[in-house]
Amino acid sequence: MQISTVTGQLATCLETVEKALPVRTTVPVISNILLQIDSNKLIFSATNHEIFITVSMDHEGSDSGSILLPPKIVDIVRYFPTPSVSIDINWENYRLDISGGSARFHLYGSSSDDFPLNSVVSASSDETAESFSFDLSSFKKILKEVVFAASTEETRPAFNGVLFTFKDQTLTLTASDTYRLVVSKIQDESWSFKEVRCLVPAKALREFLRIAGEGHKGITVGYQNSLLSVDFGNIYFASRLLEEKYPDVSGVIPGDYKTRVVIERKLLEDTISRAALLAEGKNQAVNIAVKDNSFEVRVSSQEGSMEEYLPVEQDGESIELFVNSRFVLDILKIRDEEKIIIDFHGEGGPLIFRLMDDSSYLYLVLPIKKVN
Amino acid sequence: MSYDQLTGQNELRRMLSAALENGKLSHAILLSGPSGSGKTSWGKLLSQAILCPDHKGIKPCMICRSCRIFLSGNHPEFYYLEPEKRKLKTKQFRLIREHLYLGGNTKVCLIDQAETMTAETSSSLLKILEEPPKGLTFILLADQPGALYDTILSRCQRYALQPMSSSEIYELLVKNNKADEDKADLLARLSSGLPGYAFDMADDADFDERFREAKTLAYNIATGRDSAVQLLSWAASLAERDDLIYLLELVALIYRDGLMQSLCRRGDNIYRFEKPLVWTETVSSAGLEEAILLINTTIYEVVATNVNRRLLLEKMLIMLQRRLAL
Repeated sequence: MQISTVTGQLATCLETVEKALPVRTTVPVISNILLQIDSNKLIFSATNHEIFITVSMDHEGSDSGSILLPPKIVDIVRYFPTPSVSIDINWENYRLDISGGSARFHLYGSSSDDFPLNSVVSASSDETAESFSFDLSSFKKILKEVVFAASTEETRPAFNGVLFTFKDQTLTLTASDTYRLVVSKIQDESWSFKEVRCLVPAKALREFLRIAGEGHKGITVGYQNSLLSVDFGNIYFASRLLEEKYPDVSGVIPGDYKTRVVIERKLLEDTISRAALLAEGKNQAVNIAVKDNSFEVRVSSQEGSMEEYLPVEQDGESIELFVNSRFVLDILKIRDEEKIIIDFHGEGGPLIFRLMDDSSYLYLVLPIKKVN
Repeated sequence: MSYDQLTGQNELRRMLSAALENGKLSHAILLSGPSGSGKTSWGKLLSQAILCPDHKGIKPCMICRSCRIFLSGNHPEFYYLEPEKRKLKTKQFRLIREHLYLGGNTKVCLIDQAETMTAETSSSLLKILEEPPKGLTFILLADQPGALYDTILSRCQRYALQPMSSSEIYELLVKNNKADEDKADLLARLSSGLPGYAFDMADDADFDERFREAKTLAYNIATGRDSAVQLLSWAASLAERDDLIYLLELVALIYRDGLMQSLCRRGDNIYRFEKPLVWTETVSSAGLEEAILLINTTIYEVVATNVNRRLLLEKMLIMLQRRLAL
């Protein structure tokens, strides 16, 4: 059968699914791209067995069938000289003839029988399944504000994931690397979830952020059959879940603060960035002190020392402690509010970053115990 | 290799089948046995059976989708690790590690030559062995389980592969069309109960030539027909050869055959051959035993030490002749 299409459009599809191709694998079949053809659609799929990406594009034709395309086809189409391209598929021997203008390529595809996609496609009924609609750019923003805190270390597999907790009208996202913790709540009147917890690999979410593109459009986020899926029009993204128990984090978040400051976010970001220049070691420790409505940042290391003061609104007792400057900068960079609240809970207690008049987001950092 | 082609190991087959049927199979299995005893074949068979939803004991159904993609090397939940440049590196393990924690399916991770794990790989494996994710089974294969860390050993259910009888190996060779009946007979008696070794010999195109040489050498030494000068020239020519180890092993196996013959009583089912490959009146079982030990020591010294091969071989040949031919 023959497929004729616009080169650029085909290349975009292939480049998107390519993101799911495994870098290195011992399973030969998944290094290919699956093409399924039905009467009016071309559906491309790829997986590294952690994430699945499926992209569909419209197409006029009467034939249907499926074939595995060798990964080389992505670059072949990307660099094709003509604005339109035609692909001939011989179903007898899975030979592909790609042509346009004077350029011709012959490639060999293979049978799609062994491709492990059916775990996604045959999404049979699942009683705990949940799904909701959302705006793409808001969803991306929410994810970005959480994913950075997930651990990339291998020691505790549960912390390599972001916990999605669906309950009633709320979706709660939690990420932590045991030194810091983000909890972000999203609420919508129209939702009514059953209580479900699923742990999504942070790596998969980072990949999602990379392919999601820009702009506002409606997406459907769903949880089903131990997969988290995001459906945005012609692209379908799914990630397998981590099968680990996520610890209960509610006990870590202390109730009342001992000291609360309200501070200009941008000013603090700049100050901490400067302080971090001299901070050293794995901890990147900076000394923070709050007293008399002044926020003091100090570093003293082998390379030198610095100090700087910022005016703040202080509520509660004075305090002094050490904290990892990188952890503080992460949150200051990722938020765009003008002012931010920092709660202190005594000398060994955590710092909690909160938003003004908004209890849906919090960022908790443990201080560094300084041994003198 | 499919289930029907794997003969022998009845004890292992029974134990694994029972464990699988009763759901008593541990999340970590260690299969041990000398190199060539069939660990990889059994490890793969067990993996396939664990993944197959319709398995009967250790016998996979062979027709379901899981079995089909397993046999074509495309099972996504079968993770196979083998040493890269003689070591199992953390880098290799790290590649598959995060996949092992993904939920949903039965998974098997087969680690070939597990004793080649570096200390770092062992400790990262240990972490996952201690708290294994649901549905994951580890199968470790090792020639020398003693070389594994105690902490890993203590978390594994251990099974050992036994040497196979010569008739079982004979059957195996014939069933798999590896050799005709005469050659299968010969290979079975040379294989010391190790099917892998028999298969390697069957696949070696130069085997017949080498075997003839080894046989001549074994015979000449045992009968004492070579003068000292001839022995020295043997040593000089052997020392130059690339396949020296192989030849020495063959000679040792030929003597082993003689030893088996003199020790087994007629009708013993371990050894089914009537006449030894090389036989002279003067040879005693004690002499053969010493000869085999001597050759094995020489092989070890050639492999493991940087020694003058010719001198070593001269010494070996002279001592062999003295033990056997006097």
